[in-house]
Amino acid sequence: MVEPMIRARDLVKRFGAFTAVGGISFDVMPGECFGILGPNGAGKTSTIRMVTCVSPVTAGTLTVDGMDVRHYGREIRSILGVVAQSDNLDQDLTVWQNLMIYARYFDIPRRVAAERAREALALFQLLDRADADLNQLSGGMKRRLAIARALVNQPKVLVLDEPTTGLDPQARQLVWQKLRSLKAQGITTLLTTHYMEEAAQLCDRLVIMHEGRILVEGRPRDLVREHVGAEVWELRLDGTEREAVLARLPRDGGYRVEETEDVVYVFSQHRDGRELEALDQDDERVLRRRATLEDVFLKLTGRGLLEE
Amino acid sequence: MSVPWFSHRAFRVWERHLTRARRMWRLEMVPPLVEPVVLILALGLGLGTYVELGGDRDYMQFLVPGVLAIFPVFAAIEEGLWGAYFRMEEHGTYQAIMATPASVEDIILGDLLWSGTRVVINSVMILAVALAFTPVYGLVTTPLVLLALPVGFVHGVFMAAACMAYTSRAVSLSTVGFFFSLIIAPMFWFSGVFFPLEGLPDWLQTAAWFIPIAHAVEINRALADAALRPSLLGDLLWLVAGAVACTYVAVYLMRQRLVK
Repeated sequence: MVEPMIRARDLVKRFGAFTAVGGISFDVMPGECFGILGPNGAGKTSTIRMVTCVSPVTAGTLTVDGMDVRHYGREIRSILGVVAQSDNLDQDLTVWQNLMIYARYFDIPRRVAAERAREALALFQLLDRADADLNQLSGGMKRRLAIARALVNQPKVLVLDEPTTGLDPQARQLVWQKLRSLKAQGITTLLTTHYMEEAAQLCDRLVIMHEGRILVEGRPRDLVREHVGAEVWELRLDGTEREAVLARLPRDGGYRVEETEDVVYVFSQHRDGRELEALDQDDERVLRRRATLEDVFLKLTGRGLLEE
Repeated sequence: MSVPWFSHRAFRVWERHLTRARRMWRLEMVPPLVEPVVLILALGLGLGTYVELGGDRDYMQFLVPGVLAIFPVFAAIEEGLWGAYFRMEEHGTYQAIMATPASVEDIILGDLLWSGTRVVINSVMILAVALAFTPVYGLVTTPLVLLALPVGFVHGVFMAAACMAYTSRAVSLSTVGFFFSLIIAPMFWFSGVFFPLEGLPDWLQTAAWFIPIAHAVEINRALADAALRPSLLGDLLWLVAGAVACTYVAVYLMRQRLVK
């Protein structure tokens, strides 16, 4: 049997009286891209910080590549590549020096470090910027450099905390493309995000966290099917129009309806949508679309639906 | 969490600071050279002509060993206060290094070793200036002054560590400045750099004994005069013990701040 690369059991992180992570369990298998999703304050970053051995575990067990984070901090950190949420590149060094100095913390000999730095810069299309100052780089370039830096020690696990937050769509697409190619090379990836599309694009499996707990775990597509069904109708209707549509839906369930002030969401759940076909598809106020991970996320974490 | 202790990676952190300094030396090397020169000119040539010290000693000869004890150390103080604060809070430097096999201990020790190194570099520059003035003022008369370099290193580690211990509790950049105004500045004036401490009231002399700079000044003056005496070992011991103690305190407090 293949051992998980990361194994968490009843993992807890408390800061004084505040519980950031309230007893979570998950496995990340070798070669897998595993996502931790959740709104701000869900406990994603606290979880990541325990995995990367920079924050002590309060309770539970956590191992990385079979090593207990409580006893093998240095050893674990030597096989991880970490990309933090905020840019913590060394602003006083050049692009090249950022990679070389970072490699030295891992005791990588200079000659080997130089080879790897060149490879990493080439992979992230930054080779022509090797001698540039950090303040000459765009946000997207800095993020690429941060990922390139995380690769200089040839990590077994790449840990990314919100890797594309704050990037423009072009930069984000490029980062995604690079992460997919790294995954194809077999690297294990643990990432947090609150971009659902990012999770759907990159993750083999994911958990959705909320208030320190894991709400669901699964493959993105399975989660969508299971929790919201195949399709969603977004109807910007109110008053009598709204009631007319809702009256058309069968009483025995099968559809889940969520009403907000200006939009009614109708999730197909286990239905084929026949009852809604009469709606005017050309009406701008009617949108029929495929269900996404975002729907799952909002259903589970948002709009007070949990506190029934 | 693994049992943390210093490792050779402290030197990797030191290496990082050296690499940075080699890029930014214009910014960091010029003020430490210009400031003491201006001070020596203003006080030594200006004020000094009105000052009568006992014996045949010239004020310039009195002042320069003191300047050599204090001005290079400003670089260490700067590292321990603003430098550490920026690396900790603004630039994420510490967080980035903590994600590698280097530990908090390595990071802080690397910072302190670098602070000591900067003091040595700046001391060399001041010595060079003093040497240039020597034909006129007889400032450097013995190779013993070279021993001021290792003393400066220890003194620098001491001050940087004390500052860093404070920075570990700083909540903003302006609170970092308090330490300089309230602790460092008074030490600067009452360390015996500008006037002999013997003339001060007893209680102030006693207070001055606790100032690390005062001991470095004492040593440097004796070195410049080639007048070594056993009591200097006490001064040296004070500096070494303070440097070691403050290093441990700084590491302990910084660990509390950084590892949550």
